[in-house]
Amino acid sequence: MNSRKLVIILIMMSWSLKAQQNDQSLEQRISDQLARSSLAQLLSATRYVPVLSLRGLGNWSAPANIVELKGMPFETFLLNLVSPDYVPFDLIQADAIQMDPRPSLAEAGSYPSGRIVLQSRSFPDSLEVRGRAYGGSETGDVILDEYTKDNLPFFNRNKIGFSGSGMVEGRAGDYGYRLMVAGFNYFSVGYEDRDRIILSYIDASTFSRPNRNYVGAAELEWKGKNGKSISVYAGVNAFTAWEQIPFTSTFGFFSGSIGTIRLSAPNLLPFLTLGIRRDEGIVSMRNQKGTAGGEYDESVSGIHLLPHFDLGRSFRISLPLEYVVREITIPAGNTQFFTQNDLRKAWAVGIRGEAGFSDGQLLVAVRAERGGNGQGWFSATLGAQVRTSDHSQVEVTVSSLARPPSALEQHGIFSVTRVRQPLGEIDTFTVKGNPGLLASRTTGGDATFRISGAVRTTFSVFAYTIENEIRRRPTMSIRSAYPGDLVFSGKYENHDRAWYGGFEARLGADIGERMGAEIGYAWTQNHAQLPRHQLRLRGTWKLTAGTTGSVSFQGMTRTHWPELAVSSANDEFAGAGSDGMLPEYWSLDCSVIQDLGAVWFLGQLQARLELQNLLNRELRMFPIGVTRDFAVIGYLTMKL
Amino acid sequence: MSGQEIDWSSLTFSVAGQWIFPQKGFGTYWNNGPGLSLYADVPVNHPLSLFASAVVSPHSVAETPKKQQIPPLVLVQLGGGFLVGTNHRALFRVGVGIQLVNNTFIFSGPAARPGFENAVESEFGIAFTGIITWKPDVLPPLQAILSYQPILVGLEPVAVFSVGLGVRLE
Repeated sequence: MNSRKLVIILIMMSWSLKAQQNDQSLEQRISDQLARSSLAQLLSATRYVPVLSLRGLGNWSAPANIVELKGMPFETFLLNLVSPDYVPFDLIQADAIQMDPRPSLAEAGSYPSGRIVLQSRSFPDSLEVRGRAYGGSETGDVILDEYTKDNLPFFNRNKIGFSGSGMVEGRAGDYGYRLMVAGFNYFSVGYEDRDRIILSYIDASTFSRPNRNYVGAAELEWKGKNGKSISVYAGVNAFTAWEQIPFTSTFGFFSGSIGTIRLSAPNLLPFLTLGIRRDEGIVSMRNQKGTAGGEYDESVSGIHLLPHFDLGRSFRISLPLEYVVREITIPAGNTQFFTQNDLRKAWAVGIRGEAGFSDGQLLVAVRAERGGNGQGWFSATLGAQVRTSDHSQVEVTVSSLARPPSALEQHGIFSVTRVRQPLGEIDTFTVKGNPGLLASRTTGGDATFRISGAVRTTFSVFAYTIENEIRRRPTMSIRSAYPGDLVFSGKYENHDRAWYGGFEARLGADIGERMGAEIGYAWTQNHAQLPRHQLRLRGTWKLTAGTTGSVSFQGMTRTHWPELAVSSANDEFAGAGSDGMLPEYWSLDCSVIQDLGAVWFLGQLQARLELQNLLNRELRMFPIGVTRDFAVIGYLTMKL
Repeated sequence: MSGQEIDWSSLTFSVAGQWIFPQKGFGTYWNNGPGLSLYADVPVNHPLSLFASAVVSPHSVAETPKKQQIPPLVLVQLGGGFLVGTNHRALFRVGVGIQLVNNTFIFSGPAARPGFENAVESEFGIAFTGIITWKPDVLPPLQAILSYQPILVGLEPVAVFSVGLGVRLE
C-alpha cells in the first residue's frame, strides 16, 4: 500500500465533514462549525468557549482528549476546558474539519471520546491573502432598557463583538509559508441589576469586560525529494474570559495564554516519521470577594517516532513510540486550582497494521502505555471496511481504550466562599481531586453502513461501556436566591460503570443543480437512562449565480446532568430542588451568501458577504439559568 | 471565486433628510428626531439591486417620570440588503427593499453610565423600506422614502419608523 492509498483509507475511516464547502458557508469558530455540521453536543453556559461532547456523554465530567493538532494530541486545555476554540488554530486555516465520533487509536495518541482533526490546508502555489470579518448581536435586552426598566429579568447578555481573521500564505521554491491572526470579542454579561450569576462574585470595576481571544499562528514547510518534508507550526492563543469553572457551576474571570509548537518530519528516513510537540498554558483567576484567586502553568512536551514498513503493495506495519512529559507548576503560596507541582512522564509503544484488499481495508492497532509511577495501560482498536457493492460499504470498529486520570482530576482543588443571602450565613464549598483515581476504560463498537449515489446515506449503531468513568460527585450542592446560581462541594471519583449507545442516520441529496438537502437524526441512550434525540435538517438553494441561501434546523431533547442535581433542602431559591435535567433545545438558522465579485476600487479583490442567523431562535435552559439567543451575524470574506 | 459580475460603475447614491419616530419602549422614553441619511444601490440582476444605507439621528429624552435618569442618545443605523425596483428609466420608479441594519446607540450627558467598555452598544434589526423615485425633466431625481425597522432583540423588541425626502445623485 503506498502512502497515498493509506491517507485515503484513513480519511474514509473518519467522518469527513466539510467546514467550508467551496466557501459556501462561513462559521466563526471551530465549535460553531462542528455544532452546525454534526450532531456533536455543546456543553457550555457562556457560549464563549463551548466544550464539545462528540457523542453520548452529556454531562459535566471532564472529557478525555479529543483534539488532534497537526497529527499529534493537543492536551493543554486549562482547567480541563476541552474545547477546540482554545487551540491556537482558526477555521480560516482549514479546508475541512474532520470529526470522528468513535473512540479510536491514532498514529500518535489515543482518543477515547472521539477525535477532532485540526489540519491546515495545503499551501497554494502563489501568494494568497484571505480575510474574514464579522460582527453580530445576540441575546438579551436592548441597551435602552438599561435606563428605562426596573427589575430587569435575568437574561444572559452575550454579545458578539467585532471579530475577524486574516491569513497570508504562499510558496517560495521548496518552502511553503503561512501567517494567520485572528481576534474574537464576546461581550459577556455584566450589569449589576441584570446578571446575578456574574455579579455575585465580581466587583464593579470589572463589570462588562468582554471576553477576548487573540490567536496567531505561523507555519513553515520544506518539501524535498522522495516525499521528504519538514514542517514547523507555532501558535498562541491569548484570552481573557468569564468562564464557568469546571469544578462548580459558577464563574470566574480568567486571563491566560496557550502556546503550541509542532514539528513534523514525515519520512525523515524512508522508514521513519518524526514528530515533536510542546504545548504550554498559563491561567490565572483574580481574587473575587471571598474567593481566593490562583494560577498555574501547565506544559506537555512529547516526542513521537513512527517507524513504518511497507510489506508488499497493500500491507503496512508501523511501530508508534511516544515519550511525553506533563508538568504543572504553581507560584509559591498558591491555594487555588493546585497546591503543589506535578510532574508526570509517560511512555507509549504500539503496533499498527493496515492492509488493503480489493474489496476493503483492515486496521489493527494496539498500544501499551506506562506512567512514571509504574502503572500501565493497554489499548486496542480493530477496524474493518468492506465494500459491499459499487455504491455501498460497511465499516466496523471495535475498541478498548484506557484513559489515565489527569493532574487536575487527581490533585486539583477549588474552594469558594459565599454568603447565603436569606440567612446571612457564610458557606464554603470545596471540590477536590482524588489521588486514588483509577484509569477509566472505554470499550465497545460502532458499525456504519454507507451508500453513495443519488442519495448519500449513512446508518450507524454504536454501544460503549466506560469502566471506572471519572466524574465529579457532588457531596453538597446549593442553589441560592440568584436564579441558576448553583455551587457544590464535591470530589472526583470513579463511577462504577457507565455506558452509552445509540443509532445515527444521515441522508443527503442534490436536487437538480441548484438545491441540496441533508437530514440527520441520532438517538443516544446512556447510563442516566434518559434517551436523547437529536435532529438536524439543512437545505441549500442557489438562488442566482451569485446568491445562495440556506436554512437549517437543529433540535435536541432533554438530557440529564446528574452532577447538577440539587435536593429540595439545598434549594434556597425555589425550594423545589433540581433533578439535573437539561431541557430541550432547538435553533433555526438561515443564511444568505452574496458573491460580490471583483470590487472595482480594489483591483483583484474578491468579496463575499454572508448574513447568517437571520431567523435564529434558540431557547436553552442550562442548570445555571436561562439563555435566549436571537442572533444576527454578518460575515465578509475576501480572497485576493 | 465564481459569480456574476456586478457593474460597479452603476453605483448610485442618494442623500435624504428624514424624520425618525422611535416606537414602543424606545418611543416612550425618547422623542422623535431629525435624521440625515445616505443611500447607495447597485444593480445586480434586474429587478434586483444591492442596497446600503447610513442614517444618523439625535433623540432627546421624553417627558416621563424617569427623565432624570435617562440620557439623550444618537442613533446610527448602518444597513445592507436588497432592493427590488421597477425600471429605473421610467418617470416614476417604485422600489421595495429589505436590509439587515446595525443600530448603534450612543449615549451622552450626565445620565449616561460611564465606565463600561460596552456602554455604546449595537443591536441588529431588519428594515423594510419603500422608495418612490420621480424623475422630473428639470431637476435631479427626487425620492420619497418610508421605512420600518423592528429591532430583533429582547422579549419586548423596539422599532424605528422613518419618513423622508431625498435627492438621487445620478
